[in-house]
Amino acid sequence: MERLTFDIELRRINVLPRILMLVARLGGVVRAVHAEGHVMNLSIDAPIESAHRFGPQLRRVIEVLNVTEVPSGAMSGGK
Amino acid sequence: MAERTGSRLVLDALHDAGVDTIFGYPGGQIMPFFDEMMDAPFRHVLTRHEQMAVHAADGYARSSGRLGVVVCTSGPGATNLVTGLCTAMMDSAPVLCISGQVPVPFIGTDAFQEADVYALATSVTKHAFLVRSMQELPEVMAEAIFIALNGRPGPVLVDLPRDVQIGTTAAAVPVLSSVPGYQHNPPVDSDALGRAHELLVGAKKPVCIVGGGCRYSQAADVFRRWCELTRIPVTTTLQGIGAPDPDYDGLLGMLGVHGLWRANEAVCKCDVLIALGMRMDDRVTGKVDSFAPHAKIIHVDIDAAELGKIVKPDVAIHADMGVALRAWLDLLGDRPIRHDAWLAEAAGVRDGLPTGDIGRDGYIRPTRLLDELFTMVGRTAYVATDVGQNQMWSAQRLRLDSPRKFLSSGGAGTMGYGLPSAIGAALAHPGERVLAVVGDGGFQMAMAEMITLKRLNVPVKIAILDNKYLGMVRQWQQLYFGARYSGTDMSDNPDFAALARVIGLHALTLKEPADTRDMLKQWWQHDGPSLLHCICHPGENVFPMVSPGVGLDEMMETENGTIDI
Repeated sequence: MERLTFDIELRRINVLPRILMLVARLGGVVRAVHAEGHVMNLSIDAPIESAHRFGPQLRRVIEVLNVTEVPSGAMSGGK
Repeated sequence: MAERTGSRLVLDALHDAGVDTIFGYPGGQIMPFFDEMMDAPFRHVLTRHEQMAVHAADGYARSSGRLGVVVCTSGPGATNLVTGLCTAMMDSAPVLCISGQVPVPFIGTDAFQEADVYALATSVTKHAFLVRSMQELPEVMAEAIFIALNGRPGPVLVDLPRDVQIGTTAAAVPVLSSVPGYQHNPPVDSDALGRAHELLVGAKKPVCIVGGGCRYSQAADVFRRWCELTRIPVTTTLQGIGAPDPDYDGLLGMLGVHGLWRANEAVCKCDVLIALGMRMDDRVTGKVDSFAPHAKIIHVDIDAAELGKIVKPDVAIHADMGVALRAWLDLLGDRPIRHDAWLAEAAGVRDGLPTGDIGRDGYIRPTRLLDELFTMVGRTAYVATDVGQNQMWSAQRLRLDSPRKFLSSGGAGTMGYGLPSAIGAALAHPGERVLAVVGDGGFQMAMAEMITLKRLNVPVKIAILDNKYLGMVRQWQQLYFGARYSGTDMSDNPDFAALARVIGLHALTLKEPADTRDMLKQWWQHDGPSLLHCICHPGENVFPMVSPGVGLDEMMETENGTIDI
């Protein structure tokens, strides 16, 4: 598994379940999640062979405004 | 703006979006909407099941480019949408479903016919909305229509509680040119396009794969022009059928697990592969590690998540296929890149399709029947298929003059899609003949829609290839499960022509190989809907075929496509 950490800007926070369902579908394991207002910080363990799919598919979710992958190993700390 | 109900607001928004037809089925929690619809300028099509309403709207949308719309009630009405939504999602069809819902105060109380449709729809739609107040409705409708139609199209669901349907508002529906965060029309990266062009210029054996993106970007004309200038051999995915000019001498046919021999061989040999508006589906690539093993890969798609999802491209271009090709034509200018020798070599390889007599063992061979049928029908008809052998046999043979004319559930592989999608296409194209090629299994999932067809009296011609089996599963059982035919026998099929006649449709039964041409002619030339029940050989298989887990270079074929069972 590969640790991936994302800062995700949301249009509405109620898109959160869709994001978590997507992570699970792609075989990821959520290690930490923090969401408040329009910002979500997400840290997951992703299977090596499908790790490249997480960022682009997260960006594809309608109501996700922006996805930034941050250096792995720790939560970005939120805003 | 004058006060209007939520139902009227939705109907007005649909009308403003150019919608003229609404498919669907009423019920308790959508009754206010249906009542308003009686006074609105729409044709309502009552299908006999909500799933079939989605397939019909899907066929309407794929064949026309317009929004397909479905309306149904809450609970079981809405849960019946799920397979249709999944089908539309996998093949990027722009469908909008409006589902009735219990009034907002009742949501979460396990009220009669309440279901969490928003949650159900979330994983099978491009986007879903649950409208919780009248204030939200104008923006939701504007965004729902925009999202369904723009960028990579797809299905959207709006769950509409009863109290929102009857509530009133004076608010207008906004006109949108974008939705926050949604990049629906990305600009072409000229550097990436330049690298792609250089690869093409330097290629000795380039091949193009074109997919469903050609249909949705309305790019057939520019794509055909690009083919003429590059003289590149072209193969298509299932959804790309009809994209190339059917008379193009470099058209290799469909590739993939049931692709034509020459198409798969060209992909295996090519040194540059240009993938346009396609998503590298596993039925296209076979074993990914051995897909196009000698090629530099250029991938153009409007959905960034498709670039590198399965096959890592050497050049990725995130753009609408038509926009990218127009820019590519500018690069080509009046300096065509001709690959004539390679084109002739690639197109000269055999297709691998069976030949020989139409009769065998006293039965009609479905492959040869379809050869006769498609020769008769020509290239201008709309053709819908179901899923399974009937679908692959059709896809291997069809050459159509538009990418909007082939309707088939590719990604989801949904049995029962053929008949309702053909009805949708017939409604979108009045007066044009629409052919539905279906198997006996899939047809039985949708045959109540013969009643819808009778009511509409549109010229849909149904050809049932009845081999008394769930044929594709039987084929796999024969090849990979020791010929143990578990659950695939359909020897008790009814007389489909008799059933059709009970409903009031014109119907014929074709049993004798020698009667094929005459009966096909009678059936096709009948003025109005007509059904042809073809009693087919039970043992004919789809070849060529690539077994699961191997590459496109390991195709199987038999001399006549038939293995005795």
